[in-house]
Amino acid sequence: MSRSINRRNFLKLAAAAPLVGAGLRWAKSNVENAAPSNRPNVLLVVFDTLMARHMSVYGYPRDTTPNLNRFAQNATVFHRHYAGGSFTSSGTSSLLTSNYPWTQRSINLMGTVSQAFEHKNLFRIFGDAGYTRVAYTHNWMAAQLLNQFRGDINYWKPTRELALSDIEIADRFFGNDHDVALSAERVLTIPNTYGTGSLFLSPLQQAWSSHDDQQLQAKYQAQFPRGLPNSAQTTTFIIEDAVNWLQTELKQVSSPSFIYFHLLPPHEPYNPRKEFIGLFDDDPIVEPPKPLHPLGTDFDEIAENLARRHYDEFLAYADAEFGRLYDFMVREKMLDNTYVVFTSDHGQILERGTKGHTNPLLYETITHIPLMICAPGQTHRVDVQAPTSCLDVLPTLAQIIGQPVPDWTGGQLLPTFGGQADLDRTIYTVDAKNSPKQGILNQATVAMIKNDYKLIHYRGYEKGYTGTFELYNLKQDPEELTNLYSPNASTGNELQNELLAKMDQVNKPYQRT
Amino acid sequence: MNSTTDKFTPIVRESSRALSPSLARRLPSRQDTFHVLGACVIPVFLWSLLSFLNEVPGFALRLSLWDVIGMASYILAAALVESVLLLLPLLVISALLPARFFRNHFLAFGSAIAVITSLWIMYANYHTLDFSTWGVSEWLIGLALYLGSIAIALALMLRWKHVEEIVGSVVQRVSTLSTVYIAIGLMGILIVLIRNI
Repeated sequence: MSRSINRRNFLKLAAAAPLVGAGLRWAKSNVENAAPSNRPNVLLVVFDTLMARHMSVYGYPRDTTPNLNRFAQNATVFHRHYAGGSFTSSGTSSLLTSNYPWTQRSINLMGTVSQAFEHKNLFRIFGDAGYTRVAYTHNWMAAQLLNQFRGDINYWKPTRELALSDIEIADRFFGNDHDVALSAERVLTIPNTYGTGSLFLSPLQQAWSSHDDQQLQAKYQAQFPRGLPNSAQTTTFIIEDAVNWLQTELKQVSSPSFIYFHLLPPHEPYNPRKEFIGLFDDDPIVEPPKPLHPLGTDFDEIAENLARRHYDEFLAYADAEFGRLYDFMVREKMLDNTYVVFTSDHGQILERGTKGHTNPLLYETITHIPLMICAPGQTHRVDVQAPTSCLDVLPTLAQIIGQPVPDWTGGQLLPTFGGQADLDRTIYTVDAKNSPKQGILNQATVAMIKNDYKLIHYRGYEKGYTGTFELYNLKQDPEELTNLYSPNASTGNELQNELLAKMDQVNKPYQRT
Repeated sequence: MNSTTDKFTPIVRESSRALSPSLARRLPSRQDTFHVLGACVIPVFLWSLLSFLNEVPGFALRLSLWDVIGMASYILAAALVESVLLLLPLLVISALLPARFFRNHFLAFGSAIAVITSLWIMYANYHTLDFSTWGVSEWLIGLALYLGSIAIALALMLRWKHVEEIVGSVVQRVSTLSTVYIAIGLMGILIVLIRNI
């Protein structure tokens, strides 16, 4: 046999080489995947607009969260956990980047983080540890942030694939420029002072989506008599579809995995499944009367009580679906190697003549959010009373998966997860939606928690609300009814000085010298 | 190639040659078409720009200058598409109706229809009327008002030639402005393409 390879045989070998290489790579990846990972999976579940104080887990008189109660029996429950912002953009960005809005600059409605933070996020932390990263959200503002972080996400499930209808165009055709395209689409399609920005296309789109919507509503009328849940004129959905998908994903995703699952409920509209409607009609709760706030909206007490009841019904529906997910994970024994983190991005105001979370108010109903963490194999409940921030989630998860805690994080390790309970710690919630992204915070509300006290500072508002402070002792006055602030009182003075110093610090980079 | 195709091809070729000049004859002149496009462009662009300027202070809080330009580009590109969509039915009407009824008066009639249609849609938009919820009676009233206003305008122009001449003259005079709008609309399309590469 000749020792030399002739030209024909050489060409055959050269053609086969890539196939051999691909085969080796495939075999290698299968070997890697087949080998059991000793690193835990992490599932981060976010319920949008969830007030901790409306959860029976946290002592609310109505049994709104019986399933989360069950989950809590095998979890660490953080009782004084605070959002970083008061609406989706600022709250979610704080959670995902472990920095306050005034640092990562997602301070406006539809805001995104500054370029410096595009790769400083939870997904990057898990990616560096070799995790498969999956994300899904109903909320289009959260989707803006996920779009920014898409380079760090392996699989971002499009919102519309788990929705019954979705009319957004920006992500269909302009994914590379999603943020700006979506902003333009909102101007063209959402009515403002003069109507929609598009003269002809918008009414056509509205007619098409109304027709589509009517057909859907008719189809689901029996199950959802009040209407289908939806996300602000763009997406109609039912929670069941998202939970079903997550169950499938949990079974097939490569380990170790990090899944970010951000559901819209209990964000309004409050459209639960039929069996939850009227659930609390015979269970009236008498909220203590609270003064109307000058910066609030015109929302009367009767409407407030009704809205709270409907909110609770919607929460009960969302809780039921969480229960279905939880039971599935128990049956499949997934909790043996999975951390389940349950939280929210912000709460809601349904008091003081105000409804919503895009107003300048930062009372406890909007800043106090749930956090519960079930560690693998955890069989008993642990309660943490020390104040914690949503900024603490990222460094804690980094530590859990064996990654170094980045020096750019603004949070601390959570108590019982390597951190210490620190009652003297200062925690903030920031609302500055009408301030420039790259400028000083000239109109803002800042809530500062320290020990038992909460200081709220208003800056740059009309009706004389600028340079104004409110001080509450949350231990003695959890409903924030008695404003203790006096510029001469030592407690208020100390807290005021600290808060103002912080404001100066965060504004300094944007001040003209 | 089979014998049936052999027989059919020359017929198709001859028919195509016959259709093309016929279709071209049924459409208005390029100049008139451009002027009527201008009449479509002006109300559509004015409306979109008004909305953009009303909203931009909020967006300018968080968007860079290039992003604000990008946002304007999407809006202006959409406005140009809308203007063309408004023009197309007028061309179809021109092709279908006998010349003496429409094509011979395309400049004035087309412009009047475009402007009247835009004004009614502005009214509906401003009052956020939802057509999908309209019943038969609402549709009848709405169509009667819309078609009636068009009929009045066309009747006036047919009755008094001078009115038609004035309308045509006005449209021609504002063609400079409409040309500017069309140009920035095209620039908007270009910027949208650049931003999405």
